Amino acid sequence: MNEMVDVEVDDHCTVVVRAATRSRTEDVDRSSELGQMCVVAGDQIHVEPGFVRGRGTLTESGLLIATVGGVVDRVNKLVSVRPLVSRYTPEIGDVVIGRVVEVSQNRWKLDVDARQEAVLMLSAMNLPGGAQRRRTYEDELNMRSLIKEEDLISAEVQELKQDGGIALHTRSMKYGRLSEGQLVRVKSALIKRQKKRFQMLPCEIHAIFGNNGYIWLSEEEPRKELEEQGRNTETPKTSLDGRRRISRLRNSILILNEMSMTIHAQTIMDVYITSEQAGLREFEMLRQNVREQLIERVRNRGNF
Amino acid sequence: MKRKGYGRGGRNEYISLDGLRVDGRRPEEVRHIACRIGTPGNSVDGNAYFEQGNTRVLATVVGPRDRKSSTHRNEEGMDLKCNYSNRQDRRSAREFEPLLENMFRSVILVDQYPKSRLDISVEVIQADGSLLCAAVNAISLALLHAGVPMKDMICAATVGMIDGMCVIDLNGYESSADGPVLQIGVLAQTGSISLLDISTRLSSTSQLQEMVSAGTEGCKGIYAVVRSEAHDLIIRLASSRGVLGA
Repeated sequence: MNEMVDVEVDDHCTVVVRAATRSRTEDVDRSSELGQMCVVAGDQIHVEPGFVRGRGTLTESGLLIATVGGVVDRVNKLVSVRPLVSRYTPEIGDVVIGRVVEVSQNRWKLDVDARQEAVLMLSAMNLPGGAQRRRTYEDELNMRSLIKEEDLISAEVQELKQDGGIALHTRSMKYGRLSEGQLVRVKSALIKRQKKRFQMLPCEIHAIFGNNGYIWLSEEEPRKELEEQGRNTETPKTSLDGRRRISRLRNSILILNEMSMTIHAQTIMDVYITSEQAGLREFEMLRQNVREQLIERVRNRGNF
Repeated sequence: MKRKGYGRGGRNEYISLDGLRVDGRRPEEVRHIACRIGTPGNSVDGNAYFEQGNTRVLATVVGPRDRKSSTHRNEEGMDLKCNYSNRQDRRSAREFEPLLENMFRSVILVDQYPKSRLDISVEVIQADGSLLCAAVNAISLALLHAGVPMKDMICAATVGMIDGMCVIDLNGYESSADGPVLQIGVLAQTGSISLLDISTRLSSTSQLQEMVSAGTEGCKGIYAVVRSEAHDLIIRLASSRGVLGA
C-alpha cells in the first residue's frame, strides 16, 4: 500500500500529469439541482423582477450576471453568488490568526491572507498588566518587546475601512501572541462558520479556527499568561506525545483541505480517528494513495 | 519547425487540394483542447493548465494581495501584473505582457480591490502556434479558480488568411505562412471584442470582417470546452463540501 511514493514536483510537467489523472476519475452530474445552481463568471442568472443584487453579481442592462464561479444563493429577493474559492473576505467579529510583517509607528501590520494586510493599532490591545491609560511615546518605543516581526497573533476583526483596510483588536484575554504550537494553513472558504472559534479537541489539543483559513494547534491553552505579558514568560514545552497528536491533526486538516471538504472539529476528528484505527503513523498519512483510501473510509463511516 | 518542401514546386503548401490543412484539419476546425483547473499541492490562489493541440501553457494567479507602498501606480483600483515566459522566445514577453495586462484589466472588477495587487504568470510548456490565445484562455481559467471577480470570461483564438482562405487556430507551421494573422479575444457571453491584433496590412475591410466572424466562431467553440471544465470543477467543489445543505 505504501509502495507508491509521492513524486516531488520539480517541474510543471509532472504537476500536469498528476492533475490529468485526477480529475477525470470523478464524474459530475451537470443536470442535477446542484449543477443548476452552480455558475461560472459571466453566466446570466435567472431572476424574478424586483430582485436585489447581492455579492458576486453585477447588473448589465437589466440582467443579473455572475462575477465569480460559485453557487447561487437566494434569500428572499436577494440574489448573490457564493464563491467556492477565493481569498479571505473579512467580516467584523471574525477571529483571525495573522503573522506580523511590519512594526511601524503605533501599529503592527499583519498578514492574514486577505486582499490587504491587516492593521493592529497599539491602542487596540491591552497593555501588560491590563492598565487602562493613554498610550505614551514610551509604549511606542517598547512595541517590539510586546510583538515583533514574524510573531503569530490571534485577534478579532474590529473594523473594515472604506478602502478595504482591516483593523484588528486583541482587547480580550483570549487573543494575543501565540507560541508553542503549530500553524496549519487551509483555504479560508472551507472553515465552517461557527460560534466557538477556540476549541479543545477530543484528543486534548487546543485549536483556534481562524476565519481566514489559519488554524492554530497547541497542547497548552493559548493566551493564559497574557496578564503577566512579556515575551519572557516561559510557556511549557510541548510533550513528545502532544507533538504526535498535533502532527496527526495537522495531517488530517491538510487532507480535508486537499479534498475540499468542510473543516471543523467533527470532520477533523473523523479523519484523525480513522487514521488511528487504520494503524497509520503520522508521517504516512499524506502519501497520495493512503490519503485517498483514508478519505474513502471516512466517507463510508457516514459522517459526511 | 519549418518543414521545408512540404508542397511541390518549391513553395510550401498549407492547404491541400482536398481543402485540408497540414495536420488534417478543416479550415474552421480548432485543435483538440484539454484543460485542468487547480493542480494539487500548489499554494497559489489559482492555476490552470491549458492545452490546444501541441501548445501547452500553465497559468497561475497570486492575489489579490497587499500592495507594497513602493509600487503605487494605480491609486484607485488593483494593480495587475502579468509575467509571460517562453524559454524559446524570450522577446515575445515584452510584446505580450502589456497586451494581456490591458485585456484582463478591462474584465476584472479592479475597483473592488483598492490598494491590492494581482500577479498573473504564464509559463509556456510547449509551443506550437497560437501562444497568446492559449495564454489568454489559461489565464481566464486561473482567474476563475482564484475567485477573482470578473465581468465575463475571455476566450481567444488565432485566425489566419492562407491562400485566400480563413483558417482558425494556426499551428506552429502555419504561423510561418506569409498571410495576415489575426488574434482575437472576445468576452464569452456578451461577444464583445476585447483583443484584436493583426500582424500585417489587410487588403480590404471585407477580409477583416470575414476573419473576425471566423475568429468569433472559434472562440465560441473554445469557450464551450473551457466553460464545461470550469462548471464541472465548481459542481465538484460544491458537492464535496455539501453546499446545498449548508
